[in-house]
Amino acid sequence: MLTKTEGATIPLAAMTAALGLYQRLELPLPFRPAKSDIPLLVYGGSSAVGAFAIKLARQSNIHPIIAIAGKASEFVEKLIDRSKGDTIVDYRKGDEAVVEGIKQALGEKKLLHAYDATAEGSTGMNISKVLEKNGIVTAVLPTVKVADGVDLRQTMVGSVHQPEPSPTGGAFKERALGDAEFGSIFFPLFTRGLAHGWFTAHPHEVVPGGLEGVETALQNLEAGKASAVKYVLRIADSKDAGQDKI
Amino acid sequence: MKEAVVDNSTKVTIRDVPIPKPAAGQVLIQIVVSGTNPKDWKLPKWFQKDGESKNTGDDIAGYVAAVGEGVVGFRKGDRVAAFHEMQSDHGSFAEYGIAWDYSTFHLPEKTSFEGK
Repeated sequence: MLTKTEGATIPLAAMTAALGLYQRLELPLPFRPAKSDIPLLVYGGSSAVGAFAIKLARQSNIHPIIAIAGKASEFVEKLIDRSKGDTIVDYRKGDEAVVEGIKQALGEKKLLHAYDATAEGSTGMNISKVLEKNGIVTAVLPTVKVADGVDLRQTMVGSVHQPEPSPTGGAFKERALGDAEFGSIFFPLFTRGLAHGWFTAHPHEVVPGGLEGVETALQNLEAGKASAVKYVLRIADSKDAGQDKI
Repeated sequence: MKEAVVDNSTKVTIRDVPIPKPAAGQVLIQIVVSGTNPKDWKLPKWFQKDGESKNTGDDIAGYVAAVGEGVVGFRKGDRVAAFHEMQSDHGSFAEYGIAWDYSTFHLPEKTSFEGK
């Protein structure tokens, strides 16, 4: 049985992963998978967004996946498929080693797609060094820095709730069909994936105290303590919870 | 009900607020588990004024408590997870939260089942 605790790890991060892969990088959908090699670089492979991106990419038969990870490499190892050429590059050896590691992993293959789930420090510049000129990078934070001329497409998951104005002013004048519609089909697809076992939750850690634990959870996130884990809170653990009923 | 709100120094306060009501197209969820995301501290720190506090949680798992007008596909008691609309009221750091129906999804009873 999929627990609600597992369920709480999915919505924002998994939708961010899906939006980036399919709406920004325009990669083949899981139900119309790739028929030939599409190298994909995933920076932050052990983060919730990165891990969900790897899981979805595999359903789309996107390989080789080159995942960038550090101390949580063991976790990422379980997500990738070495038999399809997937590999992990450790970011802890420094920028030069990362760039060299990605180039080695690519060999003769051209990198046209990169998912930056970290989007901090040097990640965008490292990606810029290995991405083809006509390649696309999507990043989860607006603070990311890429080289001039790189096609950077932000993945801001709030876009599923902020429909874009219609570019055509056509039949559906109020707004264009876009990320909201994408969300409306992909959230139920997560249900199906969970039920059939091809989609799974992110590892979690319950922070004690319910709502009183929110501050600890956020401070630990801010301090960068989370590694391959999502902090969750059981609301019933909160002081004086359950007094109001509808 | 209890709700936790975050200020721009990542300080959290618990307060009592009325249980919200779902508008058309929305689902009211009794929250069993709330997730957390890095944006839950980043947005308050980057954008909130001094003295301003918000319930910044967006990952909900729980039971449908009520549905708004026009909602199909969900009914009271359903086990669901939902992505709350970021920056809007009634987020996941509370006993009850609000999500749009199209960013709410069922949590299956089993992780695998026979059938198609």
